[in-house]
Amino acid sequence: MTMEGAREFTPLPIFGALRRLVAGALARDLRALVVPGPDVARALGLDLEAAGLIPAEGPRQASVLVVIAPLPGKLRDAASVAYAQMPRPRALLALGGNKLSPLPAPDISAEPTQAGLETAMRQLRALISHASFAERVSEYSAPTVQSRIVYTCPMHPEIVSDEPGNCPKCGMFLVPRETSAALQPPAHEHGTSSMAAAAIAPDAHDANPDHAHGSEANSYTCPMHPEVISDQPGNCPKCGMTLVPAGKDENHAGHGHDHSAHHHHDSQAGANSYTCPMHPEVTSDQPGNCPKCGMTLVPAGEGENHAGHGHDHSAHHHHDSQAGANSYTCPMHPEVISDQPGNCPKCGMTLVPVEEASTGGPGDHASQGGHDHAAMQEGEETGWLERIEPGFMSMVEMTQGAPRSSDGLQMEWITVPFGPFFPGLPGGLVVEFLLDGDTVVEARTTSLAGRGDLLAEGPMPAAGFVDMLGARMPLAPVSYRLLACRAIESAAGARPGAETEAARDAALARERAASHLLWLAQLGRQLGLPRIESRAAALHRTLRRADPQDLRAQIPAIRRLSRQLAAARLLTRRLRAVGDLPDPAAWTGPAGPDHSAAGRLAARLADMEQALEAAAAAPALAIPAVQEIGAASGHGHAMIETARGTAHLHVTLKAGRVSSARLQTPSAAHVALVGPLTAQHELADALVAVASLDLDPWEIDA
Amino acid sequence: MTGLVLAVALGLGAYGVAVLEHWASTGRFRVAGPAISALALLGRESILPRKPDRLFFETAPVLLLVAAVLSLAVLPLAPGLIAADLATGALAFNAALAYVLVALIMAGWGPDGAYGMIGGWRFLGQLIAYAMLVVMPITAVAMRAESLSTVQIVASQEGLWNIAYQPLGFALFALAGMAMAFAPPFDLPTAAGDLAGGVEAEYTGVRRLVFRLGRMVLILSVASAMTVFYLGGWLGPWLPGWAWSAAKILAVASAMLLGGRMVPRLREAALLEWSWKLGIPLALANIFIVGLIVLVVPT
Repeated sequence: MTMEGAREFTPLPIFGALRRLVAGALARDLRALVVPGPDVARALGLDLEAAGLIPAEGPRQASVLVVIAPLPGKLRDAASVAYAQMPRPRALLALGGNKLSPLPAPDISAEPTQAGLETAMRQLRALISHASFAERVSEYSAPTVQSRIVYTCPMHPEIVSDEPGNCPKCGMFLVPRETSAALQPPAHEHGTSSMAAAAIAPDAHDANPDHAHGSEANSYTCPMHPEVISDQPGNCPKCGMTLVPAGKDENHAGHGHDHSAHHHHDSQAGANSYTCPMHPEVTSDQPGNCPKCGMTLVPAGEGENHAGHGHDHSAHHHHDSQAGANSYTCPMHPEVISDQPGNCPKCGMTLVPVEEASTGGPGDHASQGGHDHAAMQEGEETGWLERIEPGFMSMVEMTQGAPRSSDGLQMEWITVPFGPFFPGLPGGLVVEFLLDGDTVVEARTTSLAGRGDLLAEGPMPAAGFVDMLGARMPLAPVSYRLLACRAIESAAGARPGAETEAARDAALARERAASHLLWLAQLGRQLGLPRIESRAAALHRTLRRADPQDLRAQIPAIRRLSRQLAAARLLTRRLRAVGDLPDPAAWTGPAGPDHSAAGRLAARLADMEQALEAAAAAPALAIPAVQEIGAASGHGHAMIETARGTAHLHVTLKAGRVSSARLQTPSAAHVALVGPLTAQHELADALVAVASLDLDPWEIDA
Repeated sequence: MTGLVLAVALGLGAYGVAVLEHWASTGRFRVAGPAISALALLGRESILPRKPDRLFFETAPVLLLVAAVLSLAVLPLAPGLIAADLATGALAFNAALAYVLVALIMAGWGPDGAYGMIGGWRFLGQLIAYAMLVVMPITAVAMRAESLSTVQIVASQEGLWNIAYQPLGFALFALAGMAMAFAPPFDLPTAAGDLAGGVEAEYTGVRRLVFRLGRMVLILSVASAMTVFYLGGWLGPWLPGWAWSAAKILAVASAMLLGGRMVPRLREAALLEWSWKLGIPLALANIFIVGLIVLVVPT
């Protein structure tokens, strides 16, 4: 028995017993990261906890990657990153299929049923207790877990380039940003970094030498002394800076140098003086680029009204084009310019020569996604004091050019992906927040689960189309089967009998109730309410395939849960403050008079009870299957109320085959609400607001 | 001898808290659970993130554990069964736990990851909410005992436990203590639903084990402080003192851990608002009322 993700050990016989003991513990302490997510597992009726899998918060805490196939390509890529982040020994359990590339071959495969899972768990435990430690392990490497550096503009994130350079929009230096090597620069500017989203935001790819990496990660270099190259992380022997992976900070060395290539002498030098719109202390008698940020210098006086950014001191600029070596200025008050050294009349600080000021630090305003410890240490062969930025300790200087929050405070802005395997959100959904401190400035939502064109493989027979649509929507298979049946029947002019129709409606109602319970379990997980999560999940398991008699028996339990949640004051209070819909008409899901997240909870609870009563009252339930339509042709449309809102489907039949189909899903429409609902909210509230929308990533086109 | 007994008590206590915590979060009571989890963590790789602040990353879990153990050292388990009977014990308890904040910010900063960093800074905000509400109720407790010595504080409750003498102070201290131990619903720095583990997110293997241990000792310490300050410490009939202490501490810890799972996680802003607009006036009122009683009622 061997395990792909075993941990390497040096065989020392005295530790044999201890190793067996630890391996036994490992086999009993199984922490699972579920791909695409616990919601899909639950929708399939799997109870992972009962099988002995403890849900992990993220890949670093997981020891088993549970993959529920089939998965779209983007999710498989993201799963491979999560797998690489998991500490060894790690196991891969595949449910429902073995086509997982770029993931390695699964250690254990099983059917996606509870019985299959239980069997698989026995095999998995045996495997882990025997093969957790191996003398020789193979590295896992896939293109997705290798990283490459792209360059992006701090002010214009849509600018992404493979090479360092200047932003075509504003001329600033592009800053390096790590991304997955497997992905091309996407249509969506930030899309790549969502790969890293598995859980650990900026440092997505782990550093353990044991793990697979991009080739760059194997060589380290000093940002200041590119000649220093080491195959291990450490410090530069010349300046003591932390070595960075080679290729990472290449363009730093070029700071203040390469712009000279862009100089275009106008031979009017002397008469005019040029200054940087962001760094007013930078003055030059020639046009060119700012040595701090690379922006194009503008004639002095022009930069003063730069976009109303609000550094009002620049309004007092009166450069006399004397920006030579013998001009002195105050680090705090750049408007103070003197031709002699001395002290600032405003604050008493020693004036510094202007030239020195202009060869100072990097002005790295954009260490996006974290804090780059090395970024503050720049400057060549100068003492510490000379090396620091002239605006050292000046908040005005340090935050200059950084975007300003609505409250006027300036903090570092970072882009943090939440998803695709984030505990608080549906599996496959990626919400990328631009955070100002912990306030959301902007949200960008993508789905890695959506699969694009419905009929990519050409026209399909009607029954095949129904099956395909149901399988594409693991969270709402009955709804979409019914939608497809109705659309096809409307196109063919076929009408099912009233009995069939009632049985289908009852199945839809049952799925609505079950779907709301799934959502409730997710909300419980996000808000730290494990009791609610486990109760909702248990009720979902009983409801999802129950017949009308069993559904009737569950009504009291559902009512009890519903009453209890309605009476939970703290929960209501928490939810009422978030998720207020700016335009209630844009929302097609369950709604009540209150348009906040609390209102949606109440509306879903009411809808759940109502749907359950409807389903329980029906004589029978039937999973929708399409009527015999022969070789009919025509165009049809159907509309259905799913748990998440209204879905539409237009189909065209040609000789009994579906030749074109257009699907409109509620989540695809509601995803546009994420931006307005999260803007200027605190991170936790923003996540609750996203959860309150009950987005289904499978409904959103990739 | 005392040291050995206390060390064993510390180990058993932390283990008991771990069992209770597992019970509270999963609903399953497994006595062997924490031992298996700890062994498993030993077997897992302890990953060093790629661009760590090595010093902070390595120090944080150890610092958390040390701070929690130090805070326990001044709390008596029974007469004579105390590691350090300081005249300023109640103050030392606070001083030791101030380092919890430092440990969490270091753990957040160290791995160079966004979730951890946000979690660490969140805890700084949390400190601003809970810090006064830990100190002010202790002030009222010390007023009654006329001493900062934790042994004196227990002795002062001979007639009537402080939970009855100053119930308001108990309620405030209990909530603030939970916030200090970042137990749910105050688990803002480590929330799974918000930050996928937050400050703990990057810790694996042995380092995570130390972190978890520190967390358990911290919860034990807060539960012990509640017992000593408000529930009469070792006082009680029939059973020996240490047994009363142990029973009370475990009861407080389970109430804390189970109760916290019944309410949704608090928002940072709401926590600050309630602490300062409601909590601090109530704590002042508590000091005033206790002061009046101390002056008026003859001892």
